[in-house]
Amino acid sequence: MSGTALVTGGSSGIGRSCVERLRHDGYVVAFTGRNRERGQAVAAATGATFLACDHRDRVASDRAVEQALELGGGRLDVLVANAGILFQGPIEATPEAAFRELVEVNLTALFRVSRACFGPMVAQGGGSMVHIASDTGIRGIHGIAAYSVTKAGVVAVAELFAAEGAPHGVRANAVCPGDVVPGVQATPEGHADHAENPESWVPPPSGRFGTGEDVAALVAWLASDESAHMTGATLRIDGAAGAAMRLLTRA
Amino acid sequence: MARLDGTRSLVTGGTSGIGAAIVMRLREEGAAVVFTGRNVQRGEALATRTGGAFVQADVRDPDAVRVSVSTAVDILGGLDALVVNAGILHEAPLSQTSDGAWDAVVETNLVGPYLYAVACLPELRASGGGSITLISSDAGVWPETQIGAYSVSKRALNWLAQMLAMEAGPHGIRVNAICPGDTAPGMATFVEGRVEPRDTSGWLLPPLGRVGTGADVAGAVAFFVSPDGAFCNGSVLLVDGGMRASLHASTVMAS
Repeated sequence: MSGTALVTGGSSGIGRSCVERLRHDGYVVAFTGRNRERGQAVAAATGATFLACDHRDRVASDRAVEQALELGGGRLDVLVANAGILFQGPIEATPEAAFRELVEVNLTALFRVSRACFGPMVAQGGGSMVHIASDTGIRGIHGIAAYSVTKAGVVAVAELFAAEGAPHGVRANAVCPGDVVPGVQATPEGHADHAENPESWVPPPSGRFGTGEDVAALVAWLASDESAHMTGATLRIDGAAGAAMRLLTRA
Repeated sequence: MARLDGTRSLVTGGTSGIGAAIVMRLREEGAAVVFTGRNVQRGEALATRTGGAFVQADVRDPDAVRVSVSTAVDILGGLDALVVNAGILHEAPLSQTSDGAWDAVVETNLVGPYLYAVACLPELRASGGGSITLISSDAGVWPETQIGAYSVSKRALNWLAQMLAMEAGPHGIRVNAICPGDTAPGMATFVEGRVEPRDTSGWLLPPLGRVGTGADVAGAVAFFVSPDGAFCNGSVLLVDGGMRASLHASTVMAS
């Protein structure tokens, strides 16, 4: 496989696994991240290019896409829109600033990066966007309520870019992971104590939690031509958690 | 005795279109109504006509949201029902949607309802229960390419209804979403920084052979607000003349 890929939020977690996998598969990879030290370590380990970027900053986010395009000589074959933050709590306990930040990072930044990649992908005759949503985008989870709301929007963004891009060979799919260790650790500013806590998780029927590698394997397939007719799909990857839906009584 | 006698209600975006129809219907059924909107002239005219009380507020102004809720509670002496109707549409596929249009749509259709819900939940609890009804869209169920940002915002709004249903339910507060299909007159539409009425020419008709009216939607709202809807919580109800049941992808694209 060859081509250029951009992974947002690639310095840790699922994003990092995607960077590693896409590099392994032969792509030229650029990835964004907020933590310079971690980003540079991933770059050194994988040969990918680290772009220091906080997607809350729209100017920096635009610049990161431009840099990825420069890296590919104007081409961008794959976008993995992964950067996201999480806030544990019901809607009413989610402060306005945190709610707005979740919307800005998980939904608006993901939309904006996708929009910036869409034109070049159309111009070059195709491309693949993979939007990392969540199983909460298929069925919301009360304990991470505002996060669920934004992830529902992410699924819609993928569907809409799929519909719009299909005539141009541009594909878009939503990947919906269930519980993936070590959980989403990025939070709205000042709310590190509201990060995801795997100790509270119940394993799915598969008997284990997901890993970044599990998700990256699906992402790599969706990025590749092997999945040429897959677009506008919403794919759970959750060890059958969603198929064996437990009644989530109010905890 | 009318079905909504004594129901203290706040309706956002109530000065025109579906919102005005909701205000009229709730008043007809005996509810006490405070409604918000941006246009003072239209708001005062509707207040005179219906006996509701108009409070000027723009859903995109968080302080105005909170002030309008406390003003409504003062006028009504409490709160039993919140109906969040204020919304805005932008006609463009996602790739052609500007930051300005996206922000206007997300602020109005998603952040605004969140702000209203959070501001009203304590008031509803103080009343011993009640209801929140969010006016969403069939585009929140099935996204439409030509109204991209709007579709995203309404999908997220449907999730907001379901999340709120779960956390407010134990307090006797029911939260539901109504998803109208094409409803005349067309809704407020963001065009190059201004808000204009939507061009509704060229709409496809659903199996019932006509577009919806504000009264169609208002009937569903009155049901959710009333004791007849007492066990509805987390419902996402299409009011679309059968459009979603009949559409397939190619017609969505063509529209």
